[in-house]
Amino acid sequence: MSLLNVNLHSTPAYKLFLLFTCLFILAVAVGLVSLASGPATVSMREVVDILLAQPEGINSQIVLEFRLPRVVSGFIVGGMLALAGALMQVLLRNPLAEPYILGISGGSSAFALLAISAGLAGAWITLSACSGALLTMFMVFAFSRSAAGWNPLRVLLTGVVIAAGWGALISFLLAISPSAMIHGMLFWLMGDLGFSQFNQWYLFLLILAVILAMIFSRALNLLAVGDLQAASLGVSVNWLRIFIYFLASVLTAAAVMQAGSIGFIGLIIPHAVRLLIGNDNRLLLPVSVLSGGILLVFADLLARTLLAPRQLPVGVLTAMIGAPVFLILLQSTSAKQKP
Amino acid sequence: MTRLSAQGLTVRVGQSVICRDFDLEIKSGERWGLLGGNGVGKTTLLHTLAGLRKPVNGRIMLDEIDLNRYRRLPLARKVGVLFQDSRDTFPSTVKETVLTGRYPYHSFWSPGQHEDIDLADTALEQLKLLTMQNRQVDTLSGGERRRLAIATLFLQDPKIWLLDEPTNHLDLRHQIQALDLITQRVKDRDGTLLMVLHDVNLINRYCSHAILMLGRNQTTSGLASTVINKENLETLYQHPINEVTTGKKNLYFPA
Repeated sequence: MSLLNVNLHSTPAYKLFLLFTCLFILAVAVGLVSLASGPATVSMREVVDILLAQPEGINSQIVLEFRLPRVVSGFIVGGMLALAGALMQVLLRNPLAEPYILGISGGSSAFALLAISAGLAGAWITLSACSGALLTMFMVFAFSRSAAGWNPLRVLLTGVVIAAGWGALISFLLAISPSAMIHGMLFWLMGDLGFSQFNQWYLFLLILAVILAMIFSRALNLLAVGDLQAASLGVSVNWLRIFIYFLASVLTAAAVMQAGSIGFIGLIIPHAVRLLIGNDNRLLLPVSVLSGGILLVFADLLARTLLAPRQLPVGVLTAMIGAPVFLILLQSTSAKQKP
Repeated sequence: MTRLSAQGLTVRVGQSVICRDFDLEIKSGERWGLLGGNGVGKTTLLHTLAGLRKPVNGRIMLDEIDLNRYRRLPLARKVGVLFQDSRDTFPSTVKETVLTGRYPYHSFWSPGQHEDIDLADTALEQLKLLTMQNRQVDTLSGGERRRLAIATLFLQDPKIWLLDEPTNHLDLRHQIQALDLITQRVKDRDGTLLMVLHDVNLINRYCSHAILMLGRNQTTSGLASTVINKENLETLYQHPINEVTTGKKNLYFPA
């Protein structure tokens, strides 16, 4: 039994509308607070004025040029990770699956570190990270194919082993690199929204991914039950799995390009949403995207302001907020389940 | 009319051959039982006939059209399969699960039409599951799950029903109730049925025809009254069988 007890066949439409409205309001509220907070205090009123009228001035510049891109890309990255995590869990039929489990982030980090060691900078590092992610995606895909088709356990094992390989390469590079380079390398390993630039292509990718995932959400519900069951009800299981694999991988790679490897969101958000509204992917996927975005923007707000002027790695905050919230949710559902 | 037929079917799992040059012709209105020892390949044969795995050789025809020419969704409206077991990594409620049976009838995203809800309520009522429609599937007992799977198949509403041990986990009363319901439904829809059962006497009670998988890829099939006899059963099970005649029916039990 999920905590909110909503489903698509018996919950009245207004309740579902209310659920999404609440999430939107929460997203906007967290976004506004984020825009107002920082070393230079800007009042909430002023933030709204700046967003609406875009006047000249130093505060306007701070809000529009420094904070807004960070907030928007935080939301996009959070949404991408949560969606990728929810998709991976269904694809691998494993509750412990998360976006990084198949080595996509390991591959891109390892390649980014290689580029840094080689003395490259800027866009070259991003390009290298991108090729690392793509290489991993195709490696896992190629190695996990067998005569019997595409078995989730085989994919999982292949991915975990390839991820471990990248992990070893990363440790090796960290060990031999001069200390001056280490700081730039840590960005890729810990995750940080500080360098992320808003790019409308990422937003476009997220929207496209949500639409595609929603189209296949009913088929995903069947896939979660079992391959044969899904196939006998009319799902083209092999195509769907390949499609979901590439969709989740591309989302993960895009999130890593923007902000390095931010842990926890891809694992915890889908599960928290499962506890709240159940396992129906038609609701789970969109709610996860919104919640993931909200959590990451909120965590980044805390990371910037908690020990200001020092900035904390945002991944630390996602775990620090996510873990207790998740445990509370878990406790309240198990309490509800007792007769 | 021939609903389901196989010509020269050869099915293999790994290196072992399940059947070789197997022929089958199932007409509408007929009810077939599939009998065989453990590991002889009953499930594999059933899945092959459902189009869930490819035979090495031979042709399968559904309503006189080659199985390979069907697309997935039209196939799912024609053939329904009851599987031996189900998994629930991410369980949903009984109601949501039974509604998945409507998948082949809607394109993409559907929040559940009223007529689907009515169908679901009827099926859950028939299988005595209506009171637990909001329960999570993973809290059900084995028998309740089995009935849920049957209810889901009722919503899928196929013409050709392929059932893998439909009476698994069911107590004596529910076995008879479930098989009565299924055979009645198949008859109402002018459909046909092929089911794997381990109980010879239930096959005798419900099936007009039977396939006996005798092992070493030998099969024999035909009218249940002819192929089910003491001699064939002893070959099949490699165990002495006692036969008792009551009225018109013969009953079989292990000696």
